[in-house]
Amino acid sequence: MPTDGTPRPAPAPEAEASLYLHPQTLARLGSFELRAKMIVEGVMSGSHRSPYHGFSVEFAQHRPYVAGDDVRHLDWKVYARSDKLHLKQYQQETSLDLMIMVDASGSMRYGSRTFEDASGAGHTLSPDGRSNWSKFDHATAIAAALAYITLHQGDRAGLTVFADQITASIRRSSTMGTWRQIVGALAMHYQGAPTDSPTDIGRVIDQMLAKLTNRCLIVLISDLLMDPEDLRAALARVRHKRHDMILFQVLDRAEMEFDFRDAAPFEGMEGEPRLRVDPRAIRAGYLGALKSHLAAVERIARGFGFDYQLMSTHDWLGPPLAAFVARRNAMMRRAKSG
Amino acid sequence: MIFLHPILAAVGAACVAVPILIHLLMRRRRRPVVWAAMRFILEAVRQQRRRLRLEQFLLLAARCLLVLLVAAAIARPILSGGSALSGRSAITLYLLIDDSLTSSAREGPASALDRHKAAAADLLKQLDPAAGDRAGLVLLSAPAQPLVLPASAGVGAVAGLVRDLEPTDAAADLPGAIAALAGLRSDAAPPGRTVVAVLSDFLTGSADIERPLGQLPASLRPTTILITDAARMGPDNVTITGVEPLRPVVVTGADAATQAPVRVSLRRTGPGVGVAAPGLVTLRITAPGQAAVRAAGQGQVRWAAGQSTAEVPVDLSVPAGATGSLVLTATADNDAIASDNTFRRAVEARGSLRVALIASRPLRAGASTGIQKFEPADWFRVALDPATGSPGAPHEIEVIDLDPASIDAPRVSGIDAAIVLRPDAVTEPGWRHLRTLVDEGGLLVVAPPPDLTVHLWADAMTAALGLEWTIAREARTYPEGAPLRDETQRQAVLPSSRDLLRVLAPELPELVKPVRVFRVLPVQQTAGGNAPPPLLALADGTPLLLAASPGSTAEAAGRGIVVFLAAPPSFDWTDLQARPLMLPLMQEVIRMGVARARAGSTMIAGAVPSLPPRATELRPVEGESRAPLARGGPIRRSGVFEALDDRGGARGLLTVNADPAAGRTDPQPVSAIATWLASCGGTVHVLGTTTAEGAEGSGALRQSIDHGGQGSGWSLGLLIAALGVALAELAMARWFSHARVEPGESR
Repeated sequence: MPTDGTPRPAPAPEAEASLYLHPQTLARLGSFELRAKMIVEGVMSGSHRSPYHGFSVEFAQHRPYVAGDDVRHLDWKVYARSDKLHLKQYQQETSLDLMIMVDASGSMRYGSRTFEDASGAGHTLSPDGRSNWSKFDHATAIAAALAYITLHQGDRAGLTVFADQITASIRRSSTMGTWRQIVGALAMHYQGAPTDSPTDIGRVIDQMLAKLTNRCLIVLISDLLMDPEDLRAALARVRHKRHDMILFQVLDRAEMEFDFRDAAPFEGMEGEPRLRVDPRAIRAGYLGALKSHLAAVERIARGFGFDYQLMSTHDWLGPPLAAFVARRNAMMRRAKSG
Repeated sequence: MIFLHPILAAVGAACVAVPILIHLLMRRRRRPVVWAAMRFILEAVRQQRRRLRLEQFLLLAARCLLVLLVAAAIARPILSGGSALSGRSAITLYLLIDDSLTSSAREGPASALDRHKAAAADLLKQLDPAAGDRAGLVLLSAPAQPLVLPASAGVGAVAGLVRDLEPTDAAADLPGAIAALAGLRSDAAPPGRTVVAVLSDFLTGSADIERPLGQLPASLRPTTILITDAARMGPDNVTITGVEPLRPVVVTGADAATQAPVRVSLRRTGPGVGVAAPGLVTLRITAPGQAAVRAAGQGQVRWAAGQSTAEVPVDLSVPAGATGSLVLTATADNDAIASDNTFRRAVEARGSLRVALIASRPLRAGASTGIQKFEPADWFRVALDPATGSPGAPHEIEVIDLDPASIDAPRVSGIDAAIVLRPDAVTEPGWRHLRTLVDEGGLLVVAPPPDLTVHLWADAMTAALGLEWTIAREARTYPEGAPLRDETQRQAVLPSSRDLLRVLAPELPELVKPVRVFRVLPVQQTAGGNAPPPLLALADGTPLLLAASPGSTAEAAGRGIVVFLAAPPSFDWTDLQARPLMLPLMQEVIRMGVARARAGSTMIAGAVPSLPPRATELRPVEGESRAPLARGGPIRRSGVFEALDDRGGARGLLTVNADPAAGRTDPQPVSAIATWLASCGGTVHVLGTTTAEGAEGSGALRQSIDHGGQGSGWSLGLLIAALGVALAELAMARWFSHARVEPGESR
């Protein structure tokens, strides 16, 4: 890494992608498809259920014939049995629109794992010069993986990066170049001035929903260190718009264990005041508060029918993500067959 | 509360800041932790703030308390007052009252002893004989005097004795008082609680804390020791520590006055030492019991700031004809302690000294025979009386000849000194008479006969005189002549021997240089004896001139002195007689020897006087009471006493002076006093400041003893408490650290 003060050349998106999407992760996820659990409104025909009934391959229902209907869809067998004209209706299958929302607030910059250990690509520093693997890095890896799966199955993927408002976005597209754009945008996001702003999930959701014209699968990747009631209100608006949603809550292992020994001043990353505490003395209270928060977030997500997954930055991405997608697909198949 | 080690207590109190400082320093050096999930920390802190603050306060308080307890235990606290007389189990109170010299110090109308008496009376009032209380009384003036011991139920009688106490001129003898208590028979110790009250100002003159105290007997334990608060400041006091005339025997002659130089030693103590001040010393010589002054003089001392000791030379002119036993009195300016402003010394004035030359063939100097024919006796005669043969010349030393075979009691009784030059001719009865001379304070000089080859007389002499010497039978020869060395300059010798050559000492190194010794009769001191080293010796260490007091260790030592000259003044033996040393040496040996032997004795108050031979009693020659003193007892008051024999004849003067060591008035910290007293095995409590009306006014003493704790015995309790606090702190630190919460518990 140059240290002579000369501006560092922006890395190519392909090079950055390797930092976050390890081949082993891709290998794990390669056989999976990301499917919308709810009905989505794609602009193209695809493998996902559409709210619009057409005349495609999958039968949906019969309806009485009215004048003007296309006689090609008459069900002659029903006419033969009942002497009534009915049309066969089929479920129209459409493409999946995946909107990935990545939290880039100040708290996402925290990470206690080394970048070299986490990236698996032999790099000791992140593209923006950090030596730690932050929660945002982990979120980037998740986003890259999901975008890859989505684009690989021919669906469209888009990106929204936010903190207290949307700070960057990439419109949905099904071209493979979109994946490189998403990864590059995330990898280079902190190269500018890093933000200390907290997450304003309500405002961000409102901004994003205003841009969405059709039902989408929204993936929210964040540490969700926010008031659960704000999250509930935001998810309620998402549900109201009939979007499907998956919540990935990314936390660092140190945040989940809080295993500090010595008293020290703790300084917030989103403008919170410095506070001197004895970690061992408050650890029980901390863990209790964390546990309550996690439970509340999961309860809210499940309450709206959304999937929720807690991710640790110290875990390899592939296994938990593959397990999650597999579990989700299995549930969807059971629901469909039932 | 006070502490035996107040500095340790102060340091310990300051150490309380250590845990706080550690806490602050640990806060300062911690690097901040940048943290994302602050909301959970804030919530945890909000939930547990009160508990955390309580935990931190408890931990800090425990640590500070631990430091305080350890410091207090090390500093050994003493609670003011004590519960000594509270409660109603039978109490045995031993009053140890300081009536030594410093107790006479006056500050205002009351003396220190008055305050001690008031405090003692206050304590005695609190005793209830009906409840089995008893009181004992021991006076501290040396030697400690157990007036009421064992303790008596007659508390009122003890109070009466206390009222009549008067200060003495002796030093305080607290170890002796403790020893008196220790000597109590175990069955003499009544049941109940034992309280030893030591009432003193504990000035340096009245409490020598360097002296070890004995142990109180187990029968008196547990013992509570009540002590009065030590004086914060002692009075200014000037003490005459010594009066030293050049010669205690002044030979006045018959015509002209004789100069008698006197050196007065002074010491001052108290806060005034730091101030420059003038002083005046007055000397006078009087006959015992008479006011008429025979001679007087004055000396001035100019004390510089910080100067504590001084010597004042005063020349007294003793008129001719003033003979007999006299008293030399030095008086300094009056101050808080009057008794040590006067120092008395017995001196004797003589018209001449009578010396017997015991030799076989007297030869008058100046006769037709030359000095080649001089016998040792002739050399001695010339040395002692240089004016021999000069009609009309003064004879300060009168030399008489005595045949060795004719030594008898009448002849011996009239002489001051005898010089035996033919000891081989002295018979056994003759030695006994000479022993009598020495025992009664005479001087005996012995030299070997020059013409003998084998000296068989030595055994008879040493046996008769009780000397710890072994004199050789044959002389040791030095063909080339052996030089002398000056023993008085080389080594410290006993004062009684050194004083013989004291006047001569400055010139002695030069005087001994030309002297050569060719033969000498070696003298060895008995192994294990405590005889003084020689006054003069040869270069190889062989003694030439020795002096000793007669009497073996089994006998009472006599007052006189025996001097042995190992080489007689004969040219076969030495050329001493032809050297300048001869005359001053013999003059000083005779004059100082007689002075040492004849002059009255001087002692300090508190000592047991040794009576002169044949004396049977001591009678004061000053003051209202002339009643003879009890024999064998100590004298605690200064004064002049006359020794009398059983027929009422005068046997010499004895002057008693205030103990110079007792006049020191520097204060000592009460903590040091308490430590010293605690070493005897008691628990020390400090009473409040005492006044002539009691302790801090009416009722204050009772109040101070009705409440209180366990004194310095609390140290162990404090240590145990500190251990308990330490364990509690460990438990709290362990509990409050929450180390029991395992990692990953949240999941």
